[in-house]
Amino acid sequence: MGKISKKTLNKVLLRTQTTQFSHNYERMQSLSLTYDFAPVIEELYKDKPKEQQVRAMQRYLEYFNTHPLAIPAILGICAAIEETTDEDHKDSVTNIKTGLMGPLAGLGDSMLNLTWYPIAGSIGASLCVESGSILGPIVMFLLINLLYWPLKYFGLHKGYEKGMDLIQNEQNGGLKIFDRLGNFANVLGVVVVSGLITSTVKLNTGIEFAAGEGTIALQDQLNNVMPCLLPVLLTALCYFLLKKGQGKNSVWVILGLLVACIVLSCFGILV
Amino acid sequence: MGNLLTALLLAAWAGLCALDQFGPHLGFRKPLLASIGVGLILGDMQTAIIVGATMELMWLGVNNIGAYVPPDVISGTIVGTSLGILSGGDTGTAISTAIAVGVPTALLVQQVNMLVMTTNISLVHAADKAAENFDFKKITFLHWTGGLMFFLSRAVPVFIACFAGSAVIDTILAAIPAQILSGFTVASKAIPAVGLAMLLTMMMKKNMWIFLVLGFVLGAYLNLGTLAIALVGAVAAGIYDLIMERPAPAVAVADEEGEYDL
Repeated sequence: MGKISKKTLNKVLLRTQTTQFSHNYERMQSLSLTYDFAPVIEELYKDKPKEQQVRAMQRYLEYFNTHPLAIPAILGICAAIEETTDEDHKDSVTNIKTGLMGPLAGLGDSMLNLTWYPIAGSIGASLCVESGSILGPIVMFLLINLLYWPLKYFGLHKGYEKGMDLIQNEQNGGLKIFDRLGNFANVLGVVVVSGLITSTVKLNTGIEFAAGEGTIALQDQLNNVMPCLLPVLLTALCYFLLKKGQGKNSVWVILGLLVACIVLSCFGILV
Repeated sequence: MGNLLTALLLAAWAGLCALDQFGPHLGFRKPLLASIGVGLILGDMQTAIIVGATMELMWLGVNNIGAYVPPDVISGTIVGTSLGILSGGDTGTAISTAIAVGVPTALLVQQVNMLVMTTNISLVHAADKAAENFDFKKITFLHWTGGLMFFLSRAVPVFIACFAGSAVIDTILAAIPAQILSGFTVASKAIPAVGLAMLLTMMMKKNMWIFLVLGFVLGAYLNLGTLAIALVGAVAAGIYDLIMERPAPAVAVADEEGEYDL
């Protein structure tokens, strides 16, 4: 092990920093992946016959889509397999590449996009939304990058060194760890998002009733029933609308909410 | 002349933030960090950060998941924050202006993004030809062409909106009644519901309502901060994993009783 130099791998790491530039609807990240992996293909195939070179390149132009942060790890593993298999067994590269993209996409989405980005964003924003302090953006930047860079760097290098072990363990349920991590992240994400609904969604009514001498504010009554009642109802409404439109109607949900809020606030129903 | 230069700089910044979204993921595709560039270019960091943080919270749940393309918060933030600052009012006016301009921009550029995702298909077909010649130079060229397209998909709309908008924003704002403008502020606090609901549509699987209630109690009744909620969430996730991964002896029992024929 270790035929591919660290320098070549670091070139791949640098290239993965552009990893979705040629993103498209047909084969998603395939062209990007080919560009990212080019240094390794060039090194391994420079003395090989032309048809092998072409086939190697075509392997990476096949449909591919995963979480961008998983790409370094997957390419690390691919490098290890490319190096250790002969031309008749290159199918295993494709199999493992496509086998990993699904679970890692799910894991990346639930851990990073659904959980870590909202956490970093809400902590950062809460530090500066009133004061405009530069501390907010700095904290947010650090929260994101102190997690992301090790994932990228060690993903690629450890993927290359340990990738084969991981794959060989696959028969004993090696990929199951992704399912478990995915479930873990999903639960964590639901708790965090649920908490964020209570802290970031704000909806108050200005309706007041005449009651004897003074007035009763409806909002106070609602608060007595349950805190954050209106935000929860609004989020539930959005949830059902989005679910019904399978997320494709998000533009209309946002525009509808925008117009509704403006109209209702003009009449003092929302404040 | 000053306007032109400012608009060009803002456009370039929007393009760079877009490249971050399709590249290294340093975080500049999120409103709070995207607003930093606006603060530097327009020389009003404090207002930029306040507006950026407001938009960050508003679009907290808006994120690229899978193949789904969300509203483009980059152009929304940059156009909104710039015109908010250029409108010259107090911070409150800047925020409501930013939302009034930023939300439609984000929704519009979302459509442009889908267009680029479609036109970029031609790059892969050209790459197929390059592969037959084992031509890596061509691959590099095609890949960066895609990057250029994404850069322009944000830079051009932002340039048009900032260049044309800065000239007319005062007139437009003067024409909008103050009541409606404050309605935008109300809306900005309600819009996070859409993004967070969007996240939930992807996360609400079997049994997840339990954790939805947990998060709600922690936030609404105990008023815990995000980090504290996340830590409790991690504990809950750990316990859930332990329960789900426990070997199930129930299967053997069911077999003995012979009631569950599978």
